[in-house]
Amino acid sequence: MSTPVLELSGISKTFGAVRALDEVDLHVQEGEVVALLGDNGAGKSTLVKVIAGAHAADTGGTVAWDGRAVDISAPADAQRLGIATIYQDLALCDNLDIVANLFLGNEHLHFPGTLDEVEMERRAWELLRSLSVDIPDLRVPVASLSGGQRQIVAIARALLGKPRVVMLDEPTAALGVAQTAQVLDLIEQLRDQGLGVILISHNMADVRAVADRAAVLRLGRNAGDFPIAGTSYEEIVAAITGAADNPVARRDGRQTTGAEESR
Amino acid sequence: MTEADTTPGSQSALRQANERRVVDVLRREGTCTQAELARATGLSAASVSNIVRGLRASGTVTARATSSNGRRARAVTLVRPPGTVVAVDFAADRLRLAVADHEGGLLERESIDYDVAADPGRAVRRAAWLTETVLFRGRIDLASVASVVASVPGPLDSSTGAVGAVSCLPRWTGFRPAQALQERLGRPVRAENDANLAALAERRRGAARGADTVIHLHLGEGVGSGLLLDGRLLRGADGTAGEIGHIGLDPRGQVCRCGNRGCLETFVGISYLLAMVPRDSGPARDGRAALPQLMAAAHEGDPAARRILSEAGSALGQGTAVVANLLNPDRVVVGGPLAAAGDLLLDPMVRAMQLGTLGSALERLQVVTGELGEHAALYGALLTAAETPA
Repeated sequence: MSTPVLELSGISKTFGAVRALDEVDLHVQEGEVVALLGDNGAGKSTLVKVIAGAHAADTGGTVAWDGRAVDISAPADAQRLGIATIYQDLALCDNLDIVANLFLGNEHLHFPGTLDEVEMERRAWELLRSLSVDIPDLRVPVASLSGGQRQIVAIARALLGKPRVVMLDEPTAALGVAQTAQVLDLIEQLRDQGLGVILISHNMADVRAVADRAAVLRLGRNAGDFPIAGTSYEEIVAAITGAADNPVARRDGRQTTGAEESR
Repeated sequence: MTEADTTPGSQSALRQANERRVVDVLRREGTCTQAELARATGLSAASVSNIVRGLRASGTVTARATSSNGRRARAVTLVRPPGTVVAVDFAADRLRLAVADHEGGLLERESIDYDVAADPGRAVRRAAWLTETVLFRGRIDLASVASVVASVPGPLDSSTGAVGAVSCLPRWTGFRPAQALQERLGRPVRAENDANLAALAERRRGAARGADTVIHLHLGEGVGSGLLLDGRLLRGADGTAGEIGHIGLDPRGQVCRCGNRGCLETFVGISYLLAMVPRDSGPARDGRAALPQLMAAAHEGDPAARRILSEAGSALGQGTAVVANLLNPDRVVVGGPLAAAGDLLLDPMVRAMQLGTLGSALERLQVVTGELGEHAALYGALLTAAETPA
């Protein structure tokens, strides 16, 4: 197997007395979609923030990029490496049009300092076409787009920095069937273009539709890493809920080995 | 208790009507708490409680304790007879899905754009996703699905279930869609050719009602047909019966993707028609012409568009005449995207058939457009699934 683009090992993060992440490992290859699964409070968002540089991990763990150890202590570090993060709230400016949103803070300028709108629109078309996205008009305010289209604009904006790993936090939550399908198409496109995708989702159907692998977190620890093909829905859910690893299940295990004990 | 047992306006009739209201809400909404039922039906909490007790005793619903906003509540679920059925329609650029109860009554329907032709494995994966998502939305358990029928736009080998070599999905050749979908869903899946399913649907619910020997033409990128003889599908030894699009009409015509020359498809297939559109004419005004523009231009009287459709109709008539002489059908149903051309296509088709068909074969023959439109294959799959013994 080739070297993963991004490999985390032994990552821990404590907030005061709360241990949000405890020796967590995660890796993603080029052209691979990894679903990051777990219940609320399992540590998914903390892990994403550590990768994105929003939180610095505790000392002890290592992050490797293309096999070389790197240090991600600020969002700019992650961006420079080529990690793009799309948070659930998308952070789009509702009153600006699609082109302005795509190039916000990164505008192309003519020499004395006026915006090169033509060049920006041309690049926006090029980008959206490369993603097989069909949006008829790039000059409408983002507020008038559907939830799925907004998600697509947010992902497209992240791609302008030519990232190699894209993290998506609940991209399909609160979308209808057709819009979810559009976002899933886009995730498949990202994989086909050779990007590594980390997908956080609670929706098992979505995960099974596009992910190659599922990494499960439970109470801040790794609770399993499953190839999607060949793993049943129940096995993954059992790992998420800890059905296979709780006092009752452990006691049942002991009882079956210890035979005739009274219940 | 049946309707005949009760006098209209009596107490028991009232109670029956209220019971039906409760059941209707449960059928529509899935599992509800008793309080939700009371709100939805407008009945008092006490009557809902009484009705639920009665329905539980008769085995129509089940109730279990739950909590709603921290209060004790009872969740009521309609006991569905096991046997929800699912139909999946793989079109070249779309996935359609329908879910029905065991009697074939439609519960859910959805369709999404998807490049089905590009990769069969992915298309099946997405179809499984669509199935799971729509069932979840309808609060239906996947385990209660008795049968799934997939409609595939290509010939299927009846013994292996593999897609045949010449279809509008070249990358699907040799792929076994039913097997792949069954592995994903864990429910029994059967696949059937889309033109066959459309023929069944039109005979049951559409333009071929009352006819026994039916030719259903599907006019799209290719030209397929479903053949019903005495109400039964004719599949042929390897499942390729009805490939009417590859009847040879002109030995010096264009080479077809099947390797022969001058097949009917090269006269009627949508991409062949669009290639005939003259540059700078009405339908091609804004860049490349597509079928909707061609249709609209023809209906507005654009001479080039009319000519293209009328020649397609004539060729179709010549081809259909051959089959009509052979099978003596009592109805020919024209379906698929091109059928929207209506009489612009049908009139020249009928004229050509009159020239090419035996008088006796034409006597009772009616040529009509399909009534079910783009959903014909989906309905056919749903009807087939509902009739499959569980």
